[in-house]
Amino acid sequence: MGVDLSVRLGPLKLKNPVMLASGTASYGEEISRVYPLSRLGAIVTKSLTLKPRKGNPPYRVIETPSGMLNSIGLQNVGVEAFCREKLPYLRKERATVIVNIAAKRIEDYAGLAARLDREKGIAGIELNVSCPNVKEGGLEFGTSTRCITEVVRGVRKETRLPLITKLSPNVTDIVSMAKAAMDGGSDAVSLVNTFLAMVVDIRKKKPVLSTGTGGLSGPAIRPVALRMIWQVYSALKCPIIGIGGIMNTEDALSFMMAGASAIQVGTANYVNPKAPLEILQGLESYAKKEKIRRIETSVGSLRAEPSYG
Amino acid sequence: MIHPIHQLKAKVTGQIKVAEESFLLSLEAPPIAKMIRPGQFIQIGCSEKYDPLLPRPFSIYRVRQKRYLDILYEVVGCGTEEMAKAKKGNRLNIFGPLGNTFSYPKKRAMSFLVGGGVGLAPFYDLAEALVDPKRGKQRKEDVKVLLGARNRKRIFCENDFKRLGTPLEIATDDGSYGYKGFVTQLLETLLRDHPPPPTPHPPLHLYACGPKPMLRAVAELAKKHRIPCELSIDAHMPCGYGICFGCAVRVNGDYKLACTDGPVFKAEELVWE
Repeated sequence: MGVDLSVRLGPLKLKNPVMLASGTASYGEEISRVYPLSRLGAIVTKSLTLKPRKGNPPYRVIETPSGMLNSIGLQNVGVEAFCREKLPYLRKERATVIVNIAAKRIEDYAGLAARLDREKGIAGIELNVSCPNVKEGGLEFGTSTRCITEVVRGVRKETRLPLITKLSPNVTDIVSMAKAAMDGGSDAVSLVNTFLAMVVDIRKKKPVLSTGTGGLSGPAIRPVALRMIWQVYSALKCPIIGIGGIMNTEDALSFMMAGASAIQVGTANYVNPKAPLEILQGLESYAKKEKIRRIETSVGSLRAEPSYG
Repeated sequence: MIHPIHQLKAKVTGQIKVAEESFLLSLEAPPIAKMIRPGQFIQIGCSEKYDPLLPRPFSIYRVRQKRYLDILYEVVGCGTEEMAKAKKGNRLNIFGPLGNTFSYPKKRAMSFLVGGGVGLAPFYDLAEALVDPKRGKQRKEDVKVLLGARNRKRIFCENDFKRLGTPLEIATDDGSYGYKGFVTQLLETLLRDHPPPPTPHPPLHLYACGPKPMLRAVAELAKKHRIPCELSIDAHMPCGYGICFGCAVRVNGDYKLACTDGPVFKAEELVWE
């Protein structure tokens, strides 16, 4: 008997819950040298901006205990080059494509969404309202409920595509941020982006990263990410995509039990390129062993009192 | 044609200490060994428990029987410390081949392969390819390897090059073996004997791998003597295959990725800080 691995995130139906996290899979070409992209629930492509961006100077990355710090600075080809040069390949590979977008102004988010809405082969849009590494006087959308709602609303007007809002964990109350996104018309939330952090080179008396601070990812953040998912699920029961140091099937299951309908694999792609496939196979084996016919029934199946956070 | 990336749990078939803090690790990895070309690298997960988390990039010292990969490395941090503990029969998570390749001179040429410490790592494989009648088509006496080391305790692999039949010259910082001084100073003396064309000598090609100050010095010499020069660079490289954008290097007016645009760059492309 086959296991139904498909999951639903509001209007977005995925063939399985395993996705590639934005910024850790580029635009898919490299990963497809390892396995066919069509195997996965979806790929979320690297954040696009209206104009191409060169990114930050080196050093952009540094390893930390059970994790890593990055400050790439939204290096990307820009939305036009993406539509022209990257999207056709993803269509040919029959990948389920979610396009992540980032901007400094609501009009730019809206413009990006309107442009992508004209393209075939896009399953949804993920809003990056939370990049910690780009600060050029723009609003920090991801840390204000009002801003989150306005950004989502602005994008919602421009597209019928399913909308996911990727939230920053660098806030005091993640539940209110998730609620703000859903209030604006988001179909789901991705939890969480990286944690603002830093590493110092004591010999040089300087931060290691060229921008001073960066975003922490990897297993180091997993318990905190998991707690945030549990809080949001307990409070809102909205569709959630869990992200944060997921390395294997056990991690993925814990996120799903805490309330994530799907999960994104990020840093693990660097360590073990086949991690997403292994997680997918692991979920299937788990379901068979536990006699679960639909993996979706595991979502939010945690037996615990709702979170008090 | 985009080549596949092979990921496997490669069996350790041996590990020997070749000099102070320096090891030669042998891995059985047929799919990678069959495909990999001089200059390319693989990522090695240093411990089975993902601690440290990220894999480390290593160039290939030698490919044997299209089946085994020999990795020459120095213990420099927690990753290589773990790797040095690997015993015969252990398995390490590896993937590759990754990155671009060195190019071969189109006609007869003199090649100098300059390695600083374990920067020598890619040059046995390259020397072997250069003198291969089917690949580089160069004469053995035209492929000269220069090894720079801190002192005589840090010298390795001398016999391998003797067996290959390509000349090897060694420089030590303290003069305890071979030429006394930096390998770049040794290179400079050799270049003095080798004026730019038109001369009776075949044209020169430079290849270098090693610490950044050494690469910079080689690049400056190449510019001064107008010699084509390829540098293999090392960088913080989380993924190694172009998905994280972490290993940016400065090139004229832009950034390139060390892992997919490199690790081999033309010397004149790179911007030194």
